[in-house]
Amino acid sequence: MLSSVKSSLRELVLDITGVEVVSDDTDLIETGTLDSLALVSLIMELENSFSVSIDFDDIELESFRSVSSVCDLLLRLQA
Amino acid sequence: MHLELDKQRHFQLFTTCPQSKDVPLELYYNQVIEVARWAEEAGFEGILVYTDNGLVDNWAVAQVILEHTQRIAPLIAIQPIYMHPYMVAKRIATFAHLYGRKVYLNMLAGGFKNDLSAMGDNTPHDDRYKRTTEYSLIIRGLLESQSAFSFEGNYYQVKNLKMTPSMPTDLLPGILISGSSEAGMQASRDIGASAIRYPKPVGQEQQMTEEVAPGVRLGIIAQDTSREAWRQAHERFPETREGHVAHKLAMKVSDSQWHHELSDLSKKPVSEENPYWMGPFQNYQTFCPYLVGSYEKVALELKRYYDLGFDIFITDIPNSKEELLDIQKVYELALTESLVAC
Repeated sequence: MLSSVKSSLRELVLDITGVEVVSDDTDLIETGTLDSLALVSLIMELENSFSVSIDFDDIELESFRSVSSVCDLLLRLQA
Repeated sequence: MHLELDKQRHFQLFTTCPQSKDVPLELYYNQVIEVARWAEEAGFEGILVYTDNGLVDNWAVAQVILEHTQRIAPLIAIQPIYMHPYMVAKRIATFAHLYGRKVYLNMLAGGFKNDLSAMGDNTPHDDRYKRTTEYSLIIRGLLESQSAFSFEGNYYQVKNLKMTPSMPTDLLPGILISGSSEAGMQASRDIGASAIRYPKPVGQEQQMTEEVAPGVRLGIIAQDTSREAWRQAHERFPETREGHVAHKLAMKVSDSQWHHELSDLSKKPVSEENPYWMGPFQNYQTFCPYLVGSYEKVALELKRYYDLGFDIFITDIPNSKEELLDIQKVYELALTESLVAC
């Protein structure tokens, strides 16, 4: 299940940014893959695709730093 | 619009130029010209031209404005990390030489934090204001001095530097500075600049006692009735999940004091009778508070800001010429002595 979630996330990042993420631990923010606009788009897609609600008061930016961290976030929200 | 209410004070009205990231590429050049001309015809003193890493060059936009208008002054946002102050002074002197026109400067200390970091700048908030102070003093010194100018600061040093071409005294730029923190206010005093802020509701603002009158940046939507004004406001700035997320994200990455103050303010509901509205800010559609209501209601609110000592008013990017004419109407009404509380 984890691998399919990560696969879906990599596809989402590719759709939004046009960048193919090679590693699930690649720093998406530091590398410039996710700028502010792309991050907003990603969050909207995460909410739509995974039926979660992301409350920014409870979440840090670190949660979106890599495919792995986003996956962890989704699993926490869905629990 | 530069209305002299009494011998001591001047009421200055500016609007804002559209941003390149908000307008299709093929339309942007003409839209800059169109909005600048609208503002000029509506009697505005100047037009703010933003700068950040995501926009086209502000000086080029300012030049387009100068070349296609007669009188209106570009209010050029200046971020020190982008160029040496000598070059800023040079460009101002060059504009004066080529066009015989005055500009205003909106000095910035901050910006989007990611923008500054990408440029290798991690200077702390208060130090950025000290840097902007030195930067501004050099610009002013170069333009005002008829002989060589020297300045020895912590961030900038120039020695026996002379500006060519020389600057006509009547075209010296007006200087504003964005910032409401104590560091920002101190910078405004040290520079002799007008401090510009995104204001709180007028009832929460203090009487201003600054030597150089400060200003505010406010959007305005005014119509014959408050109902119509609010209808237009909600139509223009609909509440969206995407906007809400963008706003929250911006709060996470911003170290701007005003950004957080406004964000805290937006959490407190205001009554429908109160024209002060943070909706567009909460949805990341603009950075400024809005005043929404009938012409009389909004005019009364503006007069209250003016009575507190704010002389400069910078409005948001306009949607139409009619919007600027509505704003002009509101300001003229605000200056009418017969205006009473309604």
